[in-house]
Amino acid sequence: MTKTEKKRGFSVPTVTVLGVLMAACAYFFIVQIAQDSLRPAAWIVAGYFLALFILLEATGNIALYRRIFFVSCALLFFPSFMAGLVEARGSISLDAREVFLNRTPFCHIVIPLSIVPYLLKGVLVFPARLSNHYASAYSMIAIWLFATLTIGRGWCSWACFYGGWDDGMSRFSGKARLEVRDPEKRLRHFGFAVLAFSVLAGVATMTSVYCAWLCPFKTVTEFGSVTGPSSYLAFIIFILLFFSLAIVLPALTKKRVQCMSFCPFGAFQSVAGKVSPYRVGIDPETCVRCGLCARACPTMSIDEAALAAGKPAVLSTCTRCGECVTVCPKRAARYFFVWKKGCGQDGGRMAGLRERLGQGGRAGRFIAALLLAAEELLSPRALLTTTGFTIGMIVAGSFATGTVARIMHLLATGSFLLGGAP
Amino acid sequence: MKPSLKRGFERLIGAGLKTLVVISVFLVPVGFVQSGSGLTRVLDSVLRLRVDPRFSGGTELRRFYDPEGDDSGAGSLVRPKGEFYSGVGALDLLKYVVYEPELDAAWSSPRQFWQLAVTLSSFADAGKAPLGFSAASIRIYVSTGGPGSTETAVPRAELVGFDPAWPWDVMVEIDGWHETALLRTADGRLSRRIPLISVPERKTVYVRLPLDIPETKRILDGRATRHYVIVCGYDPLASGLVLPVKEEASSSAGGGASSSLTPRVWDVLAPSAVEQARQLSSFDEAGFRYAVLEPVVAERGNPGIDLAALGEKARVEGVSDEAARRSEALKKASDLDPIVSGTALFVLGEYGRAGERFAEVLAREAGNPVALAYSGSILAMKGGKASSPLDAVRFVNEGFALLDRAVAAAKTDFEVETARMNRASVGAAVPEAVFGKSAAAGVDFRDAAAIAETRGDGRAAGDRLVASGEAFERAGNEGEAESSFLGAAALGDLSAAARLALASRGYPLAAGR
Repeated sequence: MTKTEKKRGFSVPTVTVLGVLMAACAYFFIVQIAQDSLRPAAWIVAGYFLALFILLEATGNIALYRRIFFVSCALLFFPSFMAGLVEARGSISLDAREVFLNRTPFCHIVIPLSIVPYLLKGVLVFPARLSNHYASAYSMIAIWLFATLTIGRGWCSWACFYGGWDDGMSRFSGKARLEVRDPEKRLRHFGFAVLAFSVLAGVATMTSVYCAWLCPFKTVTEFGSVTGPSSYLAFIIFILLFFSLAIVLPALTKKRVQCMSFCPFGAFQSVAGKVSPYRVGIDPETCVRCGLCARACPTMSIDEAALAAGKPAVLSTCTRCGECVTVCPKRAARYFFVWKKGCGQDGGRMAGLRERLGQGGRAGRFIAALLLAAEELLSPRALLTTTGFTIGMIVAGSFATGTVARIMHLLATGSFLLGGAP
Repeated sequence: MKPSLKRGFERLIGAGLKTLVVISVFLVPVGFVQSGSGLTRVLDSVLRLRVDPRFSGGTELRRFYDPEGDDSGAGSLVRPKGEFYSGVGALDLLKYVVYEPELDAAWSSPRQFWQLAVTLSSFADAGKAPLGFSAASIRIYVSTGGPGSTETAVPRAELVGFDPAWPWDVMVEIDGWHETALLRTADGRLSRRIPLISVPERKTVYVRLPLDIPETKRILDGRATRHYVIVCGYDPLASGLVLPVKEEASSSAGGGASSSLTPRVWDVLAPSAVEQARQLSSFDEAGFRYAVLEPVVAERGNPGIDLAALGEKARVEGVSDEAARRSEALKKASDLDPIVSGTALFVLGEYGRAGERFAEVLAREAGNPVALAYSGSILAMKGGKASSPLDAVRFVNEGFALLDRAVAAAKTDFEVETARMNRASVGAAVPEAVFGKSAAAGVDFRDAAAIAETRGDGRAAGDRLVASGEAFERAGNEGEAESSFLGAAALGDLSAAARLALASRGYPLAAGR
């Protein structure tokens, strides 16, 4: 840990308060909702996530610990999800019966693709359970609403159970083998084109075309049974897209290619997330135009030309991942509240008072520490990281528990499935 | 505005927004987990999401109910010996649904089909069949209006004939041992396997007829179709896979047949057991003619019922009933018994005075269930007039607390009926998105209906069962709603409003009502 990183961490009282609150959240969202038989696994997952959160807040190294958390969520999500399908229906493939019974798990990517057909016909054009299930439409819509109102497009770096794949792969190698240069940065706009195409195709066919044909993450969730040429073609497309967009290209470019340029939900969230109170900004006064932030940004949301011209701008495609915040040597890149003009220094208003108090006796130092903790707790960084972490736990907690429980079951019995296939 | 004042104002807004954010960060997620179902209800009341029926085979055109427990043919058939056919309800047809032809099914192959669904009383599966029902062999003969046959697809299999006015032209054979159904045409040119979906938890099997043959193409113009739905016993060794019936039951044949022409049919879609017995007994031994079955007609609406006229009748009847209730209440409003006068004042809408009477009773006897029930209703109604939503919720919750106490304290039929009717009425009236009481109201209405039926008041029982069905519908529990509506439809005397509610949903109304 470098000295700079250490300095960026919150004070001990702040980390303690946040840690206690996160421990309560971890208990509520992971341990309490777990079945009795899964409790040991739930405690392990809750402890692991809590440790990551405390490290994140104590060191201020958002980039590292968020990524470990995010990648963990993605990696722990899919084994549990797929094993759950095998246990429930005997296969991960989606057959006619599951579609007929409207039991297809609903994911957030369907939300933007369903809005126009819903407005036109008043129906959901996806065969999902509506309620009473973790992967039901209403559950996912409720989580999405909460996430949008709070972290906005931060969903893509804190809560999405797919994003961890390309996020992890984008940091797999130390150096980019394929440099994405300025003109190609328009790639970030390609996501909007995919969104527009998916919405229009969805309206034309009144089904979720992206889910049926283009979603790379079908490879790690479920896809239609291969019963004929068209389903075989879809199967090939899913696998090719997954390996190219979520594995190979992120590893070569060190950018989150899938999330940046191919995910319709990400593009949608760039717009919907404007209601979020948090933004990432670069203070032009402090910025030394070193360009580290732009190079670190995995979604190419920092305009290098504007940065060089002394007018740094962070675009709406920013996923609040904190890479730039962590990498900036001058702490010019930071989270800020949208109602603040510019992104001036966090807190600091009471720095003078704290300093004066700190020079006094023990009571003064105590009050100064309390003031610092209050300032830190109400800072956009603390609130965003806590909210993002909480939403990520809500989304992935039970799946992570399921995976750990299955690993424990595998070690004990030799079978990854809990209870076996039907 | 002075700059310092403006700055102060901005800081105040900033602090307020920060506080909101802090609250949302910690309280909203906890609230989300703690009241997940409440959130779902709120979202449901706003969005009213329904999955596009193109994923499930299309929209229902007509639904037919068959009486439960009439699975003994004309009334005399006895199950074969042994375990295989012994499951109660395994040969009992309960429901048959005809869907609109689906021309653009989503995520389905083929994309164009006509779905039919058969529900049995039970999927008892002694033989462990792949589709979850082993004993039944279901045959659906359909007349789409073209030339057809009045004989069964396999000669001498079911031992029935069909109405010569409506000869079948296409039929489907379904059993639990084949993962597809067998489609045949009357002219014998076509015999092919078609998709079948069995859903044991619904005790229902769905079959999808292709729309690429002339027989089914005919239905695309929206014409009415006629259906004969037959349940036979499945016998892999017998002619047409139909279990024979003889005079005496054995391990390989059912018993109770009075003739060699007795139909090998355990249940047939007919509005009543009597009608079924009549059709299945219509064989002519001397003339060697099989029993002739009559079809049900699948067309839009509820044939034979004029909903507009029924609606007008319900309106007139409602006005007259209300007048009679008020007149009766007026007589009792000054009764010395505060329960009687309180109830009368409640009916007259004088809730303040009624509340005073019930308060008198509760002062004397704190646990009086009738007084508690009406006091609960009055308190809940106060919520409806409250100016603040928080007050409204508080009044309703306090009202429910009294209503729950009333139900718990009720002992006699009168007390139970009063307490449950009050709680049900309040539960059905308050917004489902906020209170989520509709399902409980459905249960209360059903219990109150049972008491009315015991008392011989079939009309009240019918009204309450319909109210129960409507409450379950609001709660999204279609199975329970159907059960309540069917219970009402089975009653002998129904109000016009109840008949209207049933008829508009397509439930059968027996003749003479």
